[in-house]
Amino acid sequence: MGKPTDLVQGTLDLLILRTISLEPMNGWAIAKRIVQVSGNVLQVQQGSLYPALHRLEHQGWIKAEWKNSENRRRAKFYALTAAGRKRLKSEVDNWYRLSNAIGLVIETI
Amino acid sequence: MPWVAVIRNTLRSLFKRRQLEVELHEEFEYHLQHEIEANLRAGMPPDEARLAALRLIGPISLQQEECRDSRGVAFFETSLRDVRYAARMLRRTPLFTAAAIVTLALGIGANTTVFTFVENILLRRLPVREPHRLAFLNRDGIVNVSYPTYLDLRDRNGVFSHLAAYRFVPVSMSVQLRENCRVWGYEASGNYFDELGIQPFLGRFFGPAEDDQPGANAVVVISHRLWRDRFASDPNVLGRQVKLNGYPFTVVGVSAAGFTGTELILSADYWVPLSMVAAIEPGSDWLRSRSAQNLWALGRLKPGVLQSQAEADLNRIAQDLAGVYPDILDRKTRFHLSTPGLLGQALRGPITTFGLVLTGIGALVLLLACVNLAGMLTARSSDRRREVGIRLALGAGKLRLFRQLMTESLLLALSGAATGFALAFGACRIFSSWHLALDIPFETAIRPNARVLCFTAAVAFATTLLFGLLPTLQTLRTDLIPSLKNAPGTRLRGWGVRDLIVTGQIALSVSSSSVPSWSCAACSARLTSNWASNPPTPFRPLSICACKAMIHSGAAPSTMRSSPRSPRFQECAPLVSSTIFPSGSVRTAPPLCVRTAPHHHHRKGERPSFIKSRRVI
Repeated sequence: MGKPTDLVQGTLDLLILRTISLEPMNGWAIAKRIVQVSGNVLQVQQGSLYPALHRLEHQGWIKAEWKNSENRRRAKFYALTAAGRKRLKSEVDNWYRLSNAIGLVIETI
Repeated sequence: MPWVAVIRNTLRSLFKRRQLEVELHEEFEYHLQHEIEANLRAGMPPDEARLAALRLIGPISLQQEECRDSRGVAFFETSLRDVRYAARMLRRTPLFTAAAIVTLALGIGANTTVFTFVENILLRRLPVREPHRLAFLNRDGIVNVSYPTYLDLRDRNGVFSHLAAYRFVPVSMSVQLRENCRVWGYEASGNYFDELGIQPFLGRFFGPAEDDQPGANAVVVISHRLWRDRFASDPNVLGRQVKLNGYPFTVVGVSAAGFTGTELILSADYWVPLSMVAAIEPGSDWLRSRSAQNLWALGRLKPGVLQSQAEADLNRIAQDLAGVYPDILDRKTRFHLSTPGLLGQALRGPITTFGLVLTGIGALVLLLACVNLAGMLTARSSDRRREVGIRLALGAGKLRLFRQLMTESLLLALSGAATGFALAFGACRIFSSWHLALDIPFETAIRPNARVLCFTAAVAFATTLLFGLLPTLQTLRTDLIPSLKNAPGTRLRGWGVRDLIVTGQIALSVSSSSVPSWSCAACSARLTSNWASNPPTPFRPLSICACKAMIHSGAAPSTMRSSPRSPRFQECAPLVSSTIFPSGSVRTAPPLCVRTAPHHHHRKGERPSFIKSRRVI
């Protein structure tokens, strides 16, 4: 069972970037989506998403905009920037390389 | 990382803090409400729904703090808080703060003044094109060459793109009839301005073509200052006639305001071609004399030529010349190039030594100030043990406390530096307004500039480390329990920081007070010993003054020689009881000694009234 502290920082970044790569989303929706898509395996302590979101925003990988959400309340929606899209691609590549390597090690031994 | 975005976000974090704070709360609030609503829809009772939502989100204020940190400006914000706190702490002990700031202001002010001197005089470059390629010719400890030697050097060398020669001489300048002023300026070779690569403020400079025929081109370039003061900034000054030592010259140009010649501390007011020497110095023939070494030479190195290569080339020429003129040049003659601006090595050497001595004294004073302050802070640190103890007990990190205490030291240092800079500014103004009681226009104006300001800031940071580090570390070594009980703690150990500081302080004080007194004693001993071995002619200096009458007139030398005894000079006779005229050429204007009438005493430096009241010449 993955708890937030078990999520390597880089991994959380990757999850966030991947989640909002389809459409702009607010923090609540991102948290829900990660839990839902991972089949309840990745239980993120929801509040801890925000420091990561703010850091990614500060670094210019994602940008934020205040919009009305589905329940007509104002929410902060995050979307990938052009730089963020490139970053996501390289992060995904990295992830596959790393997990393949680990997989190889595990299978060989 | 997209740096543009990072910078934009950093600026936003710095200047829109309030808005970001509101948004941060709104964002968490939205999340919470959304979660609660979802739970309510799932059928939970309201209380339960809220608690479940809070559990899911986690510790909100901690997460918000992390969000703030992730904005990248935590450093600034913490610093700002530290500065505010430090200011409050310093205000609470006004006496300590005032003493510290005054101590530092004296130390930093002294160093800033010294550095202003060094920067303005030793580090300043001539205001010309590519000043680093200019080199002044020194030869075996002397800086002068004769005109024929200069021509040989100019024409035979392969290392200079230009080699100019010039000489600093006073003239009597007459702008209007019967009105003379004594000004100093250059007789310069025709390539002088080409070599410098500068532009005039008005008109033009003279070139090599105006320097090839002796006496042919009576043209003069005047300084911006002379144009302003003597010509009332006349825009039609070009083409006007002025008399230099009685010989008419035509003004062809005005130099730019920042350019006062190629010697930084001598400000020139005019430039005439060297070929006009005979007009300005009637009866002199030194342009043809190889033994009359009247010129300074300044060369512009060709691109890529090293100083050593240029020196080797000059020495080669000197060898050749020594073969032809063995009585003028020695075969062992060696040329040496130096940075221009201070008469080559002749002034640069002594001024550098002087600057180094001043820097040393300044550093000593500052060190002493730092040691003093370190002592004061150490005393204060024992007062602050309790505060530090409480903060440590509340979980403050040592690094955080270290930063806080050092901020306090930095604030002190910066306040001291600001006051010191103001002091230095005043000191420089006093120094600038001081005029040497000499006939030569020495430029003593020094002004702090941006480089000096950077220096002061650097000194402030250095002093912070110097006086703040030890006391701060000592404060942080506080043992928690005794400090909270306000017990004396670890003060009974043998040699502590405080003892070291006191020892250092005594050592520095003794040396800084004894070195100047030793120097003074040595100087005075030397003076008296000279006095004893070469006693001056016994005379009563009272009521004697040396005065110098400039008798340049362009008239025949024989007339000039008799002029001190001319009827007009004799008009002063009632006030002068006797006059001594040293023998020698009048052209070089030796000082005359005048004994004023007994009732006519004057103070040192004051001109006797008979000189003020009568126009002697």
